[in-house]
Amino acid sequence: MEFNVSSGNLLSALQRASGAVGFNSKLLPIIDNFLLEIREDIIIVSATNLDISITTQTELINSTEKGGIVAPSTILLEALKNMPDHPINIKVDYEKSLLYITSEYGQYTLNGFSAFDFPELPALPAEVGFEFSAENFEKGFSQTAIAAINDEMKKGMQGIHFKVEDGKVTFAATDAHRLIKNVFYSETGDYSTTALLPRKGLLSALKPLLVAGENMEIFLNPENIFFETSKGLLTCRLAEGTFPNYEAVIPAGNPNKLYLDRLDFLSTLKRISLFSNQSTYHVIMELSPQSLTISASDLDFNRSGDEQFPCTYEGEPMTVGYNGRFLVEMLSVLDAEQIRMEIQDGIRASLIFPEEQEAGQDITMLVMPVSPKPRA
Amino acid sequence: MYKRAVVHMDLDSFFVSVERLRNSAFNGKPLIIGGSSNRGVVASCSYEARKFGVHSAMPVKMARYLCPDAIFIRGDMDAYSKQSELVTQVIAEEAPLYEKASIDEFYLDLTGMDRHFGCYLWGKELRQKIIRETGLPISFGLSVNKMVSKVGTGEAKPNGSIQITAGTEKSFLHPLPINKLPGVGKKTSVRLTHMGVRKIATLSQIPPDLLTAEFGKNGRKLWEKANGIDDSPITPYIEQKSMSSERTFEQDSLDIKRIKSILARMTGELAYELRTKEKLTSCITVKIRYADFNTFTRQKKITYTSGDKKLCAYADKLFDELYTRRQMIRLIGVRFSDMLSSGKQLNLFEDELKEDMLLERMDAIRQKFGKNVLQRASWILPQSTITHQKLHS
Repeated sequence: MEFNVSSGNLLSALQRASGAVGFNSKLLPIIDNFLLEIREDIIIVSATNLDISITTQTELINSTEKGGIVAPSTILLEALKNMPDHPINIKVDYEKSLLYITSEYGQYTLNGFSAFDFPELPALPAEVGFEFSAENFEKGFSQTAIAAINDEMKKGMQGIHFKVEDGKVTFAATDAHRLIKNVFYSETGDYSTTALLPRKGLLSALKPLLVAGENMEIFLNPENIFFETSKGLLTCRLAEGTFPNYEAVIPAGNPNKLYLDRLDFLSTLKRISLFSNQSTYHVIMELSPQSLTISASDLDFNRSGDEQFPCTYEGEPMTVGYNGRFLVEMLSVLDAEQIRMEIQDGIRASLIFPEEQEAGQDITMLVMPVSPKPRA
Repeated sequence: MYKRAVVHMDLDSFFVSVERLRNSAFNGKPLIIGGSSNRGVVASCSYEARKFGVHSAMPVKMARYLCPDAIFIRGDMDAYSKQSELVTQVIAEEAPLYEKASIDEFYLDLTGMDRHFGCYLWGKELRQKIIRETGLPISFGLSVNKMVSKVGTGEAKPNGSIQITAGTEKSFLHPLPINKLPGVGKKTSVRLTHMGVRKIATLSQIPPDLLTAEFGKNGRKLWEKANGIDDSPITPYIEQKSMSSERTFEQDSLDIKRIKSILARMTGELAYELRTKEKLTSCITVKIRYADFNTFTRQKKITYTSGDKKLCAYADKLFDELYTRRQMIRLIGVRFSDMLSSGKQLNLFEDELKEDMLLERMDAIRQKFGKNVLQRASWILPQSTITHQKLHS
């Protein structure tokens, strides 16, 4: 097998697929490689880490015959990165499992493996999928994922709940102390499904395949989710576990409403959190109709801080404690200028919304308070 | 005259003394505390038993061999804690500043009192008062710092006192063997002996750099100790950083169901202690020692809590991750660290309020009637045959 390809094109294809390479895998060493397949005038590059697989392709200048070879990922990527974009020739000796690369600068030899040894990638399901905006997926996933938790004891909460129903695509994640529900209104027809997406790896692997302003096609089967864009196909194994019934815990009609400038509130929280206990990040908010006082202290280190700033508050004066880091993380992923907090009391869930939701989106954030004193 | 005056007080063979207070029949007899089976270690032994070569931390089996006629008893930690508390109260009434270093050891800072009272006289009076009020023999050493006082107490025992005045620390320390220095254990003393160092005098003359090269950071400390240098202050209150509980089985066991039940009980009891101290923990560690003494631990950072249901679940999970060999288990342990007093992060899903109320009621009953009156059904064992050891650091 022999083919000529632009080194720049090949490099971009390898980079798109590199998100799924199982680097230094001890389980199955062959997945530390790319599968290269020649189909007349295209080269298909595949990579898998057994959880996520990517298949992408690029045009060839010409080729002699169909065929495939498995080539080592790191050395191939690095060699092409250090080369200006120019045509290169790659020749494969199947018997010796060797790749001979000829560039303008010289010749390189690499050992490969037989394409038959590469694990088979999941096949695209026969059922129809649905179209969804690539940008919204990225936004929805990244805004929601911060609430998921890395705890083997809470398997279901390690993932991001993904639900499609009645023209709504909903992302939800929780660590039992906070919850983010992110709804996007989209033309999904009568498509309906639910799945648990893994928190780690998916978005970073998917990003190189996304094209701004373009829709992607999403397919699901019981084990995998498939994302097809104009740049390639990504398959991701779904996370295990049962996601809790979160709709039931979102309160309706919390009576006390606090209106705040998001960035002012965020920077205050960032400052005050520094003075809180660095295990609990316990910050205390004292609410009154004219002003909000945020304070924190760490008795062990004799540190304390408090800030007061004007706000609009409609409700009973009260004191509520939160984990300051939770609030900082949640406010950081929002874009809105103004936010609204809806509070019940010091022991029940509080809600955070952007004062004006973005078009086509509806995000709800929920955070549980920290109780004022140690409770048994 | 003392520039700095530190008294180290140590209750003589404390556990034995308490047992003798409770039962005068033990007086004058070799008494060994540390479990009646052969698998534990000696926690304390009377001077009569020491004559036979028995010392604390020695395996009970060995002690039995050396002194077969000794009376072996398991010991009652609660009684010892109570007696220790009585001694602490007497000291707290009298001393301007004191540190409770362990259940039977105290450091008192008497700096500045020499002019008015005479530190040694004052110490002797306090010692008499403790003996009078608690009936427990106690020894003390008075010197310029914690380390020299401690070595002094060792020399004053049993039931005596000593003062090492300022300027005489070196002449006091130098003739002593190196293992009298606190922190010089078996391993260090063997290494020093191989180097030809047997007396503190020799150790004090070795250049500190040489000791650092041989022992690392500890080398410098060794040199300082040998020269009677110790700047460590008396800290009246030491924040408890962790709490733990360990159990050695009377017989190595493969009965995982039973071991897990014991682990759950230990975790639950420790969680109760955590709650009584109004603390929360955010790190839990489980320890397994196999029959061949290979010991493994595994820990996990968790959302801070003091609820026993959650902690038991984590302990159980850690045990599952840890128990990978199909081998008999000798010991299991559980430890809570990263402790803090703070409000509790409330939970969205579990019916936590209900669980909290249940715990609150259970704790109230335990406080009134004793901690063992109420237990979760899963903790109850068919027949408990285990030795129990509680550690605090």
